Amino acid sequence: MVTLTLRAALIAAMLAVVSVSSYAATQQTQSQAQNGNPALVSQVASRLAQAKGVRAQFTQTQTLSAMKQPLVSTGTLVFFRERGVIWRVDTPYKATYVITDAGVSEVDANGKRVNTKSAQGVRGVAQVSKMMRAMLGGDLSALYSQFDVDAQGTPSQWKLELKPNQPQLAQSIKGLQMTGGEFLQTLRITLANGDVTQIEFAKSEAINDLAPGERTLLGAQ
Amino acid sequence: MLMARQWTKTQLWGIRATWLVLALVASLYCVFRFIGPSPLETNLLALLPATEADPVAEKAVDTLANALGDRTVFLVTSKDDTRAKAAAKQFGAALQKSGAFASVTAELPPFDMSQIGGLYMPYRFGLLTREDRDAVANNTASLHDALMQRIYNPVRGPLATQLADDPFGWLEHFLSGLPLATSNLDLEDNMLVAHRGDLTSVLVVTTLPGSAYESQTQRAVLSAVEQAQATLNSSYPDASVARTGAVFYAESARTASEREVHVIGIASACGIALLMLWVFRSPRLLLFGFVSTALGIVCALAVTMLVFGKLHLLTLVFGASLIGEAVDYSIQYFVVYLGAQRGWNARQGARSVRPALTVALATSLLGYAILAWVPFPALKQIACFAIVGICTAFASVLWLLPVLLVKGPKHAQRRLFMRAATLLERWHVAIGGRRAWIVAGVLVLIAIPGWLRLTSDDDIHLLIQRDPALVAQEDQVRNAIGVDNTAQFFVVRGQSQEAVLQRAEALGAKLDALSGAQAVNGWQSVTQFVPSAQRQADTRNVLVQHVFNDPAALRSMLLQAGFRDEIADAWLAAYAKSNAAPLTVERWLAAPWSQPYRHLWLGAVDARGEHGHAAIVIPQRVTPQNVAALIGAAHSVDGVVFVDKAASVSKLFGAYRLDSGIWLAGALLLVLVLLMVRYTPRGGIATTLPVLLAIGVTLAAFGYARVPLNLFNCLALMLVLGVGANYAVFLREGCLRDHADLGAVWTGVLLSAATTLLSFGMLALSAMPALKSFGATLALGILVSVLLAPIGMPPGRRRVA
Repeated sequence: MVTLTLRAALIAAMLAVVSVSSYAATQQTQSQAQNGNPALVSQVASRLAQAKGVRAQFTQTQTLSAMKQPLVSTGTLVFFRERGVIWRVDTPYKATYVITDAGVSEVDANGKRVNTKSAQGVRGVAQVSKMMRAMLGGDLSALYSQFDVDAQGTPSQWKLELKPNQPQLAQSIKGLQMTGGEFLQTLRITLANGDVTQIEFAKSEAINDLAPGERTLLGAQ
Repeated sequence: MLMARQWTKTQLWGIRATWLVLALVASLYCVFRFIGPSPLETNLLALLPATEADPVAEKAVDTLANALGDRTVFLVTSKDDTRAKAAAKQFGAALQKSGAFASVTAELPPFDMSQIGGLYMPYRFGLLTREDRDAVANNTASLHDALMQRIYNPVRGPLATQLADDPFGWLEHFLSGLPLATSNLDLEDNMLVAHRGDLTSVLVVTTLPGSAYESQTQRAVLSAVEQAQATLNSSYPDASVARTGAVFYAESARTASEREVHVIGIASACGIALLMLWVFRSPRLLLFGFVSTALGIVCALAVTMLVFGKLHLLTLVFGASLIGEAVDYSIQYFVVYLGAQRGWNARQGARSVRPALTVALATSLLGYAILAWVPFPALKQIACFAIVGICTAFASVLWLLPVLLVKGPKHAQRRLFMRAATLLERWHVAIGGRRAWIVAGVLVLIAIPGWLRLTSDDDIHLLIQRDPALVAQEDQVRNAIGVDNTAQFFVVRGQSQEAVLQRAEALGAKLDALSGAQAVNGWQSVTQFVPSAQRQADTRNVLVQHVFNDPAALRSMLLQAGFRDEIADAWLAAYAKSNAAPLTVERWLAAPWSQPYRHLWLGAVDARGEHGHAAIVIPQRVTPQNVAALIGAAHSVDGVVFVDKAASVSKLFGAYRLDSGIWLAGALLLVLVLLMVRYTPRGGIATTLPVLLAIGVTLAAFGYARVPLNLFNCLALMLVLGVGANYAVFLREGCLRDHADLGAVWTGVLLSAATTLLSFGMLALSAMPALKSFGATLALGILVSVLLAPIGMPPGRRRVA
């Protein structure tokens, strides 16, 4: 029973983690989520949701204020709804990142895992990973809980505009822009500090299964 | 024997007035205490004995328990996501409106995560994760690769740092290693939300305006919660609310014991009143009996509150059952009174009953004195309460009842006493004299298989049992949040803050090294927030030697990677400007966001005349498999102890349960010697035999019933000895008194036993395991002692007056 009381105390301590600033008296009024063109959004989402997974090539262009010029990287991407994402950078240097709910890990050329994040640091990453998969896979509920979504175009050529509706997220992300048809074609992330990351996807194809090597990468987390 | 002189009128009134003053003082003190802040101790943890040899460890237990004792947590759950959130908002608003809470948080004000990074930014050149530091020191990964990884890594966490401030991502890695939140909670719509299956649960956290153990706070909180819940039920019937917090446990314990006090108090008082009326047929005697008992209870209450300040719930409930024992002395006196054949002399009556009462008091005091010896706060209180109670009752019988019962009895209970005498005679023939040994032999033979079946139980739940409904709700809350931390932790001490931090780091390394079933799945320590100055200096040295040893090369690497010149220069300048002053615990404590973790730092402590500092390290997972390894880890680092209060208390229960066997044997011996001195060796053995057999039979009964024996059963045996020995003593003394009506004495003994059985028997119905064990043991032991009491009568003096 002592155990339990102490536990309760600790839970409360933990709760306060997130409610760190509960001493601030002001309570922000939550702006109502305004979602434009929900019909199109759900059409897009259901289309994206058809595939079990996607394989694509990507070109990522980061425009960062600290850098002299935009940084361009290219590589391939495997997204498998049930497992996670394999993000393989080919240029300017070779690296493979495996992103699952358990965290992000880097895999070197020999397939050896390096620099796995410790369990304690995983949580924030897992949240981002969840969001990333939701975006790639068209999971509406995950998106709507974090963003106001505005859609334009037709199901075969659409454009989604996402603005964070959670202040916590808005502190770091200003907005997301996605365009696509059958698959996602571009993803543009504008951070609150002005940095922009643009990712273009090409040669997208739906996959129903993973290659054995990929399965190992995603499964053995 | 000389006839005592009767009192004069003045003497009579003087004595009466003295008692009246005593009663008034004691009652007024009690009233005064109960009108003010409630003297009841509802903090169940206060019942626990100090188990830790190290006072700092004991302080740590309190700190952790109190850290958030003034909080309550509610979990509003529904299948519908939006309705769950709306319901939580409404519930929070209702609680807020009630005014019973200091603060209610359903929706969180936005928190700027950059505050956390802000604290560490100036010290970032001394703060690297172990992985980064090792990588830099051993050159396992080139700086260039680290830079590439930082720039091209597709995923960034919520505590991301600016590329310009942290090009290699070291600070970002350090920040993501902070044990900030390891839970299932998400922040959605400014609320803390957990999703499980198709259920959405929203947290509402409140703080109390006062102590959770104040009955005023408890009442206000409870009624506010009930109202808010009722409103919620009508507007959101699909939503359920689970709650947890010290205030609910305290309130539930207080209500339960108050209910028990009422039931036990009223039932035993009524039962005793009916019994006494039936036997004595005199409302006057009944009234005097209760006056003596009430005096005992009131004085006991007053003295206990005066000595201990607060009254444990356990004491309160036990106190209600003391009525049955305190009334015994007056019953013995009334027996003499009603048995008086010639003119009644009140002083003479008191004098003739004094030896019996004195022996009885001595044996009872012996039993309770042993209770007071045990280092459990609750038992010390119970012992104090009982000792004061029975001493007062004893004194009032000898010095108050005689001045109230000046005139002789109008009628005696001839018929009843005659019948009792016949019964006693037959019963004595059946079990007394030489037959006593046969009876004893048979009882022992029957008892042996029971003794062999005895098992034991030393679990902490004996002292503290919590409302199962509340425990279920707490589990619900805990599952939703997803933390599985425990009450086991390490206390790390040292002469200086720095020593504490270094030792905590050494301990952390030991814990990290545990693997397999022994692994702890991480730990929380102040060193995760503030590494020791030594470690910060080491880290800085690694950077000095392996990174900043060639600033020109470093600069060109940054420029090659694409950094602007001014950004690279600014970063290099930031390093050069940052002096070696490390981040200190004080700086961290001063940051507002550290508030939820401040319990990890105990601060300055003074123990055993030594000045020092202490901190807490909490392992995430403690299982029976890894406890030994954790204790081993604590032993291997100086100044570290592993604290497991529940296990320590259970260990203490076990140790005292075994010790109590020795004490019982010692007490038995003492009683035997005492009685042998008074009644000759043979008579002493015969008088002790009934209670000895009673203890044996009680133990056997527990064995047969397969009820595991606990410390409280064993301590109750002490009282069986103290109370049970009295019956044989009363009978024996009755035989020694001239002209005593043995029938009346036996009636008195039976009546005493009946009243004691009634009140202790009620205790066996208590929900508190400690009192239940007490009650069951006492009831059984006393029943057997009274039935066997005639064994103690001297042979050949079976006189019936």
